[in-house]
Amino acid sequence: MAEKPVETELSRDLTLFQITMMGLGMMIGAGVFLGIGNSIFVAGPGGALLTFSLNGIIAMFTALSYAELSSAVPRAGGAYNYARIGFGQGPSFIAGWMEWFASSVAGSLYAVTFAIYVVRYLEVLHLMIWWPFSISIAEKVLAVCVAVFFFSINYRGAAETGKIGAIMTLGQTLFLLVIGAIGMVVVIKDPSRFQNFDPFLPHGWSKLLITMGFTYVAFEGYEVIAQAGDEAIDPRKNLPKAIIFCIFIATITYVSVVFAAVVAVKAGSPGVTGAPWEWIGQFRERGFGEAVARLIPMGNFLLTLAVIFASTSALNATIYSATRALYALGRDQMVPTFFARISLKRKTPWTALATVGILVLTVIIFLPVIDVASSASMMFLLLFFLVNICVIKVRWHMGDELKYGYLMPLFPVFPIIAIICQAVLAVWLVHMSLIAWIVVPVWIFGGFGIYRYYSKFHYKPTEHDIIVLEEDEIVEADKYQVMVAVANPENSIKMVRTTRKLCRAKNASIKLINMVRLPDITPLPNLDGHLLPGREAILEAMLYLEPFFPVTTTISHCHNVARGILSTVRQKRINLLIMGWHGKPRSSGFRFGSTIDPIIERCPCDVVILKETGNGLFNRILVPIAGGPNSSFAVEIAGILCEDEGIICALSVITDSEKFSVENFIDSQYPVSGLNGENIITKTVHNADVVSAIIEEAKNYDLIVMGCTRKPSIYQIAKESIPEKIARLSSKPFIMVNKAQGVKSLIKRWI
Amino acid sequence: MNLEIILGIIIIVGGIGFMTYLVYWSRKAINQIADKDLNSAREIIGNFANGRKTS
Repeated sequence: MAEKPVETELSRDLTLFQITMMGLGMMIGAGVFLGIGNSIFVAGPGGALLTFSLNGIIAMFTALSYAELSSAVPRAGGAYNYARIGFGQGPSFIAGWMEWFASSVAGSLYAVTFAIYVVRYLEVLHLMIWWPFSISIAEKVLAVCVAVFFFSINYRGAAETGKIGAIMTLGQTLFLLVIGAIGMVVVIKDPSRFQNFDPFLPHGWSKLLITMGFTYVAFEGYEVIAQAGDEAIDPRKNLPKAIIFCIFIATITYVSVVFAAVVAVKAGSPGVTGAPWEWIGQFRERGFGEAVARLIPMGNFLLTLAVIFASTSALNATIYSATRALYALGRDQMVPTFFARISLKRKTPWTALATVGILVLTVIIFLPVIDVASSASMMFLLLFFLVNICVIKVRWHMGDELKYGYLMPLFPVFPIIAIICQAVLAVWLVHMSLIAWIVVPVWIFGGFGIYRYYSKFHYKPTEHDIIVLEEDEIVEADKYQVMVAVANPENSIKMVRTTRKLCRAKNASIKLINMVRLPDITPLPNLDGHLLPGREAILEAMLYLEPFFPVTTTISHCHNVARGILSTVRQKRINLLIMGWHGKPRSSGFRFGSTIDPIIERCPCDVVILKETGNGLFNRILVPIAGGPNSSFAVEIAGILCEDEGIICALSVITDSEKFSVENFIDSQYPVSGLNGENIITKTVHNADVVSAIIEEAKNYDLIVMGCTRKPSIYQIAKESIPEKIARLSSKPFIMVNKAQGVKSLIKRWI
Repeated sequence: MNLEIILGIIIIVGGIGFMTYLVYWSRKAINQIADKDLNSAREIIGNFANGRKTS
């Protein structure tokens, strides 16, 4: 078998149809066939219909979260990737670890389901007489054989996996829809069968929670679509579509099939005792089959065929999903890179596939599959829970940094409803399987151990969106780190003097960075033309800064400049970010621009934005004060930039309702800002129009330094903030500052 | 027809109708985002809001 460490890529050849069918294949597995009879037994005919409808809606809410995240992060790994972006490497490892386990064990469940149904049908045909061993051995042998067959299919490549899966899934879905359609025709011909729904809920509404709990497994599976991020054609468009289509088709299929099952049996017909729903319910798992046998000729045979189709397509999809989860862990070196090896010939992750194979076969042969499958269900619910939190956090925290292909409506209502519902269902699973409550913690704690002693030290993120093209790195870890983002030589020169003063005051080392935004199609060998302005900008700045400070330089390629800068700030643990602002009018949805806005809102370090500061001397600086942490920072920055004999004026504009003393505020700043008070004056102006008052006052000054507003950005999009208006309307050089929010910032980062 | 049946039908029909609308809305949104080559969440929300105002 040809092999090579992580240099090759997965082939991108799965169409929208194929990935939709893969998701459906994993969803329409054994769950629905076993669940319908049980639902009718526990909750009655209307309860069964409500069970599948309500589960579909809950699943749709989580599917919207998956759709949004998969469009923004279209890479193999699914929940693992989302947790990495939302919560960092520790939770992401646990997410990937759980996903790998859950998918693998679900795969073994489907293999065993296939074997059980086939062996039973062979028994009916008296073909098992020649078998010398027990039936359970026959089931295990058959389960191992079918699993090995589908591992070989998965090794052949994603396209083959998708094609085989698509054909099987299409077959089973059409079969179920035909049953649903026959049910409709039957009831139109004989409307008396509507009476089968009376009583609608014979045991009351409370039984719904029970049936929803044990049939939710039929709605797990669409996450396999998120795993296809590296292999789907046009993933930003196709992944969210496939996920949403998949849930919709499955829900319609389930509801129509339940309807058909209930109306399939005519009250009083031969062999039917009691109400039709009671008669179907008494067969429990086989109830659906018994009902279908009365609806269409050879119903039992066709149903067995459908179960075979369903189990095998679900097995195919779970193998695919588990393999990609392990591959993603290996790709990021969370587990040894051995697991991320890709076959040069087939372009499939063969080592991950083989490992999943060993796990699936072990479970098939040695473990009680039903209980471990309950553990898998519980892990899926925990994963969905995590993904719903992730979608909220990622949108709030990185909404401006990621390129989205889809955004859910009414955000964050749907993820919050899904979180609550899934928590209830996860707790309910406790009553279904005690072993699940042993297996799940053991596996998760095992994962924590591996992360603590291996992954934490080997983890290497692969930031596909940000590629460092040129880097001249000299790290001085203990120094205060200032990062200066330069765009071009002109902007670079204008920022030099201010940067020098700030860095001298902080005794800082400087990182000069230029982010090159390139269209996706630009090939790397043709980058020279794009790199030139950045190189010149950095050289210009270095001429003036390198003699005084330790300077490192980086030119990076990214698809989103704000994201590139923020990622570098996080990775390099920068203390202060300095960047320029062109001062152009606001564009749709942004106050200062698509780069500055996210940086002001999300940057974990202090930020100083310069507008037209040039290289002049600042003898008179106006600092409009409102009293918040950014006002303190503005006073500190003004103190650094003001010339020795200069004057800083702390200005407070008081409207009628406010009571703020700028004198008391400045007095409180002396100990923290290092100012001595000799060159600070305070002034209070009473004016209802704050902006006009500040602009009028600024006419006598060389520079305005002002803190950013801390109002949520949604308010600021609707209405211009005061700093924004002043920055636009004033012709004076302007500096806007934003102080990192410490603990508040940390909390904000976590939700 | 008792209250349970009426409520049940409302939930089922309403739920499936709501899901249908979500699918329709989402499909339209995905195509719009791709056609207009929109990037960030803010850009997309701003564009949708402008679309609502102009329509």
